[in-house]
Order: sequence, then structure tokens, then C-alpha cells
Amino acid sequence: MNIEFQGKTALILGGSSSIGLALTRLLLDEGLIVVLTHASRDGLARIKDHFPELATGSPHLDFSDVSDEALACVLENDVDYLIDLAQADHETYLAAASQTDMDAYFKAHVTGRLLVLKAVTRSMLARRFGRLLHVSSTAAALPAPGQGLYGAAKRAVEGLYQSFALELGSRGVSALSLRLGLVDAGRGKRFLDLENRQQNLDKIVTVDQTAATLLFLLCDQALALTCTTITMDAGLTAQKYI
Amino acid sequence: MNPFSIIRSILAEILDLDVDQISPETYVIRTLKAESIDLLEIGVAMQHRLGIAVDDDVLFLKNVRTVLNRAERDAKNPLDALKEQYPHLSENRLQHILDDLSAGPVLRVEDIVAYAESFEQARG
Repeated sequence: MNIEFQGKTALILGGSSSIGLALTRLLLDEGLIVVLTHASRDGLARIKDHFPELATGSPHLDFSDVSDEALACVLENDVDYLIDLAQADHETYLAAASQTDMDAYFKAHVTGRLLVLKAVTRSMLARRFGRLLHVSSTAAALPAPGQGLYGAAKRAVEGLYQSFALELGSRGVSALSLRLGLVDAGRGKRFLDLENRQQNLDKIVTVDQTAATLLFLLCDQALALTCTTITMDAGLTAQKYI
Repeated sequence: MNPFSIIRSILAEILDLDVDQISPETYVIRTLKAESIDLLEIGVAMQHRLGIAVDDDVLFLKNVRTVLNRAERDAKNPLDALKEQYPHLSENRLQHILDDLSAGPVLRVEDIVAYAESFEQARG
């Protein structure tokens, strides 16, 4: 099957992540223009290492400080596909979380993200096409202790994506959340690498599997997958006990 | 092209109408039956074609009843409250809105044009 793309430009939020970089390769192979955002110098350096030609055009975007200038940079190209991989780690027990932490986390990961989504979808609306893909987590439904803020933010953001799809679907904008389980990258890899980890986990999703799945979910043939959340966790959350 | 011509063509395109059906006095919701998603598209199209930052709530007079309820609660003159919220509209137009409120959504094409013109005036 040949997968097809009616859009031309993909914007990857959190583009310097392992998944973002792997997806970038696949999107470039499909002939798409890719814009990767970064939130730190380290992120920009990773983009430069892998795709030096994309580093110059990589906008700095930090959800905790979404300025009009930052949005203007993000929207320099007409965005047809938005892939949302951006999420900072912040593990704490809720009963131990400070008000400053709570406010900052939700302001960034819910409100800040919503500002970006609003700007991007308004631009999509003008062209009557857009595809939003949110990489969520099984923690949205089954958080581990310490993942209360993270899981709640993910669930809230899943709701935002669903509503964008619901409200703008008649104008060609679709949206989907993909809940990933344990991925051998980022926070998943840090967890898997813990020496004192109790569980013997073999239900792992690889970065390559994730990138390939995201590519498919972006293509024209997958556009009917909208207004919903699907899970890809190698069966991790299907069983009663781990 | 003046703001009215541009806005009329945006409305005609989005609401699938002939431009001749649209005059400054036409009611956008009451007569043209624009829905929320249409208003959103109209705002976006104005942003792109006129290069202005659009506040949908102000542009489409979405909070007229809320403003009036708040004015009543605070014992404030309703016309003054509307003037404060919608500085782009003339006093005559705001008075007409007050008189016209019971008939349904008050937004007219001329209100959208006045919003766009206020940006033109600010630019000099």
C-alpha cells in the first residue's frame, strides 16, 4: 500500500526527542517539509546532530512561555500536520506537590499547549485541512505513583484534541491521541534502566515502531481515525497484574 | 478594496451566499443564519485577509447580554457599559442594539466592518 499525504508541512513539537527525530526521517523520506521545535539548547544540539539542515529553521518553543513572537516563528510555514511530543518530566506525589509546581505544570502543559494549538488550528482552518496527532501516555488512564500531574495533564490534553476534532472536523481538521506504553526512549528508557526496578517488563514499544505508526496515523488513509484516543503499549495495560 | 467589500466577500464565501444578499444592515446570525463554526472561520479569514488580530468575543458581540447583566448588577448605565466593551461601535449603533435586543442576535455586517475599520484608523 502506498501511503499518501495531501498536506506538505509537518510541525513536530518536541522535535528533538528520539521519537521526533525518528519520525522526521520517515517524513522527509515521504517528501514532506519538517519543522522541529526545541525547548532547550540541548534539544537544538540534538536536532543539529541528526538533521543539520533543519536546525537553522527550528523554532524555540517552550509551553511555559508562549509569546506572540514564538507563535509567529512556529507559523512561518503553513502547518498541515502537527505532531505533539512535547512534555516535561515532573514526578511528585500529589500530596507533596507545591502550589507553584501545580500552577506551573498545568499552565505550561495545558494552557500553554492550548495557545499553540489554537494558533495552529486557526491557520489550518484558513486552508480547510489539518491533522493533529497527540502522543499521549498510558499514564493518562493508569498513572504510576508520582505521575499524578503528568497523567492528569495528558488526560486533559487528550480532551482538548478530541474537542478540536469535534469542533473543526467539518472544516477538514482531524485529531487523534495515541497513548504509548513503555517506549525504549526518553522517560520510558530511564525507567527501564533503573537498577532497582521491581518488574520484569518485556512489553516494550520501540522508537522505530512508534515512528512508523505515527507516520501511518498522519497519512490520508488514516484520517478517519479522529476524535478519539488509541493505545499502543504492546499489551502492557491489558492485563490485571504486572 | 475597502473593508466592507472584503468582509462581504468573506461572508459570501463562507456562508455560500451571493454578495448581493449582504448589505451593512444585514443581520449575520438572525438573517444569514451564521453558526459558531462560521463565525470562527469569518474571524480567521479576516485575520488573514485584513492582517488584523481578531478578538472573536468583541468582533461578534458575543457578550452583549453578559455586559448588560453586569451593568445592571453594578447599577451602571447600560449604554456606557456597551461603549466600554465595544469602543468601535458608534453611540447610535449601540443604542439601536439596546432597542433591538429582544428580537434576537444583534450582530450586523456593519458591526464587523466597524471593527475592521477601527484597526485601519489605529494604523493611520
